Amino acid sequence: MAAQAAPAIPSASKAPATGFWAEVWANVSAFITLWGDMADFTWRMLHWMMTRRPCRGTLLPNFYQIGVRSVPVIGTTGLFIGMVLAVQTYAEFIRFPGMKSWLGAAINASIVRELGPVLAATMLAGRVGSALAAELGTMRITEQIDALWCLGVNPIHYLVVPRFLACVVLIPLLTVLADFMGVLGGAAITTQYFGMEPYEYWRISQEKIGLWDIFCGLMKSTAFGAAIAIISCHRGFSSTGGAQGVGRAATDAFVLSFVAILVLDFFLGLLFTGLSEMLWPRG
Amino acid sequence: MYSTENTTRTSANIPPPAGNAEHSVSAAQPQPSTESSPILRLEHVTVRFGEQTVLDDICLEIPRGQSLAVIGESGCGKTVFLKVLVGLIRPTQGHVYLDGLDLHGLSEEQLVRQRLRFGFVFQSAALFDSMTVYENVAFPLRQHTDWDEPTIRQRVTQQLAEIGLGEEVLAKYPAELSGGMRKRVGLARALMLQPQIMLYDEPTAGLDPIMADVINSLIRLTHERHHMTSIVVTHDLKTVRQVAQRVVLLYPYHRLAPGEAQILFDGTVSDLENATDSRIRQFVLGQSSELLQLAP
Repeated sequence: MAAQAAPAIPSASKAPATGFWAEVWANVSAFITLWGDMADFTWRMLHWMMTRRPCRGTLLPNFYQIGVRSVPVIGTTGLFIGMVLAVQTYAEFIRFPGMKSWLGAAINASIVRELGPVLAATMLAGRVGSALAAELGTMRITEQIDALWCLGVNPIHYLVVPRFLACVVLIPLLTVLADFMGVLGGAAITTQYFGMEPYEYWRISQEKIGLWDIFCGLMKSTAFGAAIAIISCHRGFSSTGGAQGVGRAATDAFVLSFVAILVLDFFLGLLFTGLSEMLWPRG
Repeated sequence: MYSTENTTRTSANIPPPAGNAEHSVSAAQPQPSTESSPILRLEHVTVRFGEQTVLDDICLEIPRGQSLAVIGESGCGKTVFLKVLVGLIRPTQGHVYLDGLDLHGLSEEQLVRQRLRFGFVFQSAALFDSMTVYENVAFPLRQHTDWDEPTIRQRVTQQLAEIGLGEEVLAKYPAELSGGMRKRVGLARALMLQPQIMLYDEPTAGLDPIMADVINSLIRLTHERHHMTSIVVTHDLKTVRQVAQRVVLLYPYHRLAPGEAQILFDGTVSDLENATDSRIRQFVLGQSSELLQLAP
């Protein structure tokens, strides 16, 4: 319901703080309220996703907007990540004898495990997340979300579920693209510009990077996609106060998504490392 | 795993356009009610946003088929009143009964179904700006019926013709329409599911006098043609005179005397115009009185 689903991020300046501790308490309670509200929003979205088919004609436009239109920017980002990484890594590895042959493994492992998923998700938090928050925020302040309720359509089912599915399905695919372009860029710079033997470059890469690394990267990007969709849609749904409110929702969507990506990256990194050691113990 | 129905589909009770009887939709379970019982009843409804009280202890019964105007100064809670009626805002205290059913005691899904009994014309029209006029007006039918596209098209053009719009607007986007046209398209969309209660939020706000008259006439005609209950929130007395059988005047809560009811007037239009209470006179005559306090 409009009045229930629309709390903005409470700001410290609005809290009736009379001292330092009152202000601290206001911020803590605002933080708890925000994440509690987001958890409730996520639960409602999952409920609708599990119990009803997505509405007619809502999936493809969102898949197009979120997936197809992100291809150029993700491809370019991935390519340059690989090329920059190659330049920086080469400069360091060349100082130590014998390390040069490990260049391919270092560059490609960094891309597949960390940089590809994290930087692709960051890029998409900016491109997709902000756009989702701005679009839904505008719908909120122009009463289009209220109009959906009044026409007997649940806006979470109609607006959020297809966007969530598009992010969860397509962000991993876009990450594959970013990884591919990054690997290509790294190889091009290392073998063509710095003149390293291609066979050596690919042989060590193949030895050191396995399906598990690709799987971990994809799992991470799936979690990042879910976080971007939930945070951005929630901020859009919660926007208040006209054009300024929509701008704030878009900014919040990016900032909160970025923080969530880094936090998730850390914990998923720990999880996958632990799993890896459990499945393939060393020694 | 999935329900076989689309969202709330069984709640629609819409006869198809003439000549398409095979497309009729299964009806909703009717609510237990009698013709004489009020269709809407508000019991001690209070709405607060934080420290600010907007509606205070509102008690009101709205009989079936009545055309009610809710008037009052800007900021007195008229739009909140309307949104409470349709369940978009949950009252802090009190209950809203629709045919004896407590609206705010329903689950989200049940409430969505009950909302199909309302048609809501928003102040800004609230058309979906990524859709054309045709898609906007067809939207409720696409969501709640299994009609094929030619039948939907027929119904849309028929509904637009009823409010005086031709097929030339079908392909236009809301941004390409004038304010009056947007309101009319919003009215057409709200009427598509043939609701029992029509809610209008400031239907003539921002319109020129001629277009305002067109909208007022459409509200009156819609009420007469479809025998529905109409609730019009406005501060335009011309609208009140043209459409209302009964008028309720809400007074801003912060200016009420202690213990005073927020509904300052409840009666007919002629009673309103002959009222002697200075605050009602002030509203009817449009006098700023002591409200305008300029810096010296």
